[in-house]
Amino acid sequence: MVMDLTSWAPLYPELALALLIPVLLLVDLAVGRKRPAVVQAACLAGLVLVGWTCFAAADGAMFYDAFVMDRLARLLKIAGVLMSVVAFVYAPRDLRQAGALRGEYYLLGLFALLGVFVTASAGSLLTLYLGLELLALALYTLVALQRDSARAAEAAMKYFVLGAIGSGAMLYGMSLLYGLSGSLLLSETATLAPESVGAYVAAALVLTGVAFKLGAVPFHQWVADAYDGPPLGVAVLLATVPKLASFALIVRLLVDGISASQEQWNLLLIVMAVASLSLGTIVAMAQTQAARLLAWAAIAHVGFLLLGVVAGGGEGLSAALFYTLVYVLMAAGAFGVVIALEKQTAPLDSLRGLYRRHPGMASIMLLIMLSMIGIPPLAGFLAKWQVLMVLVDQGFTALAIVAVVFAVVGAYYYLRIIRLMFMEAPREQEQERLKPGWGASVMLGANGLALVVIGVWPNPLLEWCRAAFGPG
Amino acid sequence: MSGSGLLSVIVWLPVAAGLLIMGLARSAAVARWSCLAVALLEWIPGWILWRAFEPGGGYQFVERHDWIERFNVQYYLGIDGIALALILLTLLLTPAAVVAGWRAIDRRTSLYYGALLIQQGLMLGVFCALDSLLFYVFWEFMLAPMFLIIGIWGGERRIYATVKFFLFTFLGSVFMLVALVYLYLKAGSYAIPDLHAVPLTLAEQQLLFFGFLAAFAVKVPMWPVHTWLPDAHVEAPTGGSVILAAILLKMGGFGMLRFSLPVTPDAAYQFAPLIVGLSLVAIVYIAVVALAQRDLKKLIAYSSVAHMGFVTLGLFIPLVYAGAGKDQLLALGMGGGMVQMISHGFISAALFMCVGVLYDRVHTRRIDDFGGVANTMPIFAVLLVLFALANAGLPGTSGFVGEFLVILASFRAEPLVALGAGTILVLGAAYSLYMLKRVVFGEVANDRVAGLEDLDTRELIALGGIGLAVIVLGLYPDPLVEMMEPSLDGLARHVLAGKVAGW
Repeated sequence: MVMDLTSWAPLYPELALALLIPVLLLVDLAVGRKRPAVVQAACLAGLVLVGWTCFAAADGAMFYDAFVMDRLARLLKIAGVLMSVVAFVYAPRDLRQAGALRGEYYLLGLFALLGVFVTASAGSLLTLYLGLELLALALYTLVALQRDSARAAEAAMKYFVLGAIGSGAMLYGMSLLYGLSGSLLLSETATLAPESVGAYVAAALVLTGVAFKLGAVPFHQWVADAYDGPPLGVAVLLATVPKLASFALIVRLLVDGISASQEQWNLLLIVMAVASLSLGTIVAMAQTQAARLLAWAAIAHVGFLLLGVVAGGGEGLSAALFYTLVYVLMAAGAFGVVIALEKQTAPLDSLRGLYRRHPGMASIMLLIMLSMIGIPPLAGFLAKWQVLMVLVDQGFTALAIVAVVFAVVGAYYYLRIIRLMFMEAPREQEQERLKPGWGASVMLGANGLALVVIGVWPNPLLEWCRAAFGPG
Repeated sequence: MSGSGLLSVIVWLPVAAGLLIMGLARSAAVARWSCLAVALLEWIPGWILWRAFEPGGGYQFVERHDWIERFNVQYYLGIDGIALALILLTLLLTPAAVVAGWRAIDRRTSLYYGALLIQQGLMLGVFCALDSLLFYVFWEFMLAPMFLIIGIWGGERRIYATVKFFLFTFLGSVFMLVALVYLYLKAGSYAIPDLHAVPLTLAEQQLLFFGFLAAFAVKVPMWPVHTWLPDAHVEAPTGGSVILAAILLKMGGFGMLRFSLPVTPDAAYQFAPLIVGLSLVAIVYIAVVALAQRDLKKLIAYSSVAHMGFVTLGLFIPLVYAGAGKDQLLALGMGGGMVQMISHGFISAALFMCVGVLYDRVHTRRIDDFGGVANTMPIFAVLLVLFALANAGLPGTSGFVGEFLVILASFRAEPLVALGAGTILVLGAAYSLYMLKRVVFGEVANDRVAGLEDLDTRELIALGGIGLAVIVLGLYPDPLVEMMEPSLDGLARHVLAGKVAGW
């Protein structure tokens, strides 16, 4: 039988990525020991091709609707490829120092990306779970990549145990959903009558799983360790790419999969969002390690974007999507700068006097921090502003006020970073000028510029985010 | 509507030049001179603007393009008489701020002068914006260069002061953002004229009024949210103090005229007694506080708070009045507030520069460290006395005109309030003269004062120029008043028409 390739068109990105992984494995076997840069180059080149297939792939459903390629999936996949490229450019410098620069890093990173792809396109509970576990297992291993480091091992263990509990809860919820509705398809579980006790329990369990994956309070305990334990080169991947899958999970599972019981889980979601926002913001103030600060800040950002989901509807979700995309861009840039400091464990103090050591990098970090605070016209402001608009529009004005107040509180620790960079002298042992290398320099520049460009000319991205959830 | 594109030039020229200076200027001299050149070059479009402006012509020099289409946000610029007056103030004073740092700023000069120019552009943007989101963009981004200016080149406690400044103003502004979002959902547009027109119930107006008040009261600053100001002023470098006092504070009053009064007129009417009360506290209490200061900059900072109390008093006191001819009274009060803002801009800038002149030479700001400065710096002493007396409201100076108009409006509205406000004439004279006595007059107090050199040419031109402006405005304020009058009249009619029937 001749295979008709065009009928596989929605699956092109996954196929291409699945093909890239073994090829890269062979490349790594051949030259990886002597020339890790070749592996990196091959990986980036392959990702460019994968990115192209994301554009080329046709919309459509496959495998009896268990796999869906739609606008949302396409946008998330393109973003996933982009963020992987960014992470793979930043990471090697740090991994080499940590003695963890091996081909496995790229391979596991690609497996994680494949997990994101599958999650983004999930049309049934099964595909969703497959994608998430693929992602999660790759990440557990990545966190443990630095085998001789006790901190990395501890972080990996915590992440693994807590992640397994989260997955277990979610799987239990999914099995209840399947039992109640008799179908694995998300379109059919959606119509489940919300009144039954089983549906309540299923929704609560599913929400628990989602919160674990997102790192939302009260299921956030793994986040700080998972960011801080492994080398920064792993953390930059961990902080960006999986967030896209988490967002897909929210949309596919919560919004599509159990939409009938939205009234019930929305209240839980509000509690989680406000708790994440407040706890993340407050605990972040007390941090002294850059990675831990970014981890707690990430929890706060997750709280903010969940508020967009709370407001709901196409507008709310597209605001949350915009927030997610902008957030991963900011987080990647922040990690990129921290990596360029060449400190394996980067205390905040190592940012001291950065302006004197590398004015350009300090300026980019300044932009990223202002964007994280939400100063217009940077991208971070537009993200927050849209969430505020949907909140006020849906009558959640009180939540909007809570959100902005915590945005002000959060400004404190971002300002502290700006202060360290611009207003303090470098530490004694760190006087020399930094040389981040041309690849990372170009990427940092592009990263900072992207925040400005999205802020000043947001129309295309806004349109894509809207189209991901709207008709037309 | 001639001269389209002019406002964009005025706003973006300094921003672009500032970025270039930051990135390219390699030596201090290049940074300084190019910054000064750009600040002076801005006078050309400013002059064209002034000559071509027609009072009574509504919003002029309008530029309107779509920006964020999905939310109907526009790049919408245009000015009326109120905005023009403040733009001219900004343009005139920025070179003075540049000159103020000439000697004191000796490290990272390109960053400093770049930030200063960007700051100028953003402030001009606030005055030019006719789209409220664009307004918010300028308003908020302005915090960044000021944060750096205070934090990098400030005094000993600069970090504390600059973080406090940032967080205070940011906290105020986010409430305004929520208010703007609410108004957008109501009006379907962020354009300020649309917000003026959108109908609102009284309950909505009350909440919105406080949303705006949070932002503007911090910026003005009104008692009791003024506490960031003395800290920021004392720690900021002289150029930063000049920008802060002369222009940044005016944003608060401008915001009230652009948003609080016209968007929520009925709530403004309802809460006018509150604002009047807070203004009186600022005027009387803060003026007493100023009397007790030992640091020259702190004294001027507190005096600024007291004088800005006059501005808010002028804007709101007419609303308390119940009789006929209220629209004229409101125009009078608002006009008084505006003149007071312009005049305070010149005077406070000059006073901070005077302190800067002393500080550059002897590196102290404590009043006790001086005495008999007139003996060694006669020219400087003349100017300092002029500005201090203008600050106290001496007739013939611009300080008198604003205070007189506001007191006049207060007297017609509520004589008791006028009595309270009038105490500033006594208290202001008291702290000004007391300061002069200790700093300028008497015997030469110590060796440091004995070694003082008088003003150099650069300082003399800057301070002399401002002195001239103070006197001209004091003797002949008509051009300023005429420029603003039609805009203020229109605004007064709009405010008094209200949005809710039955008041």
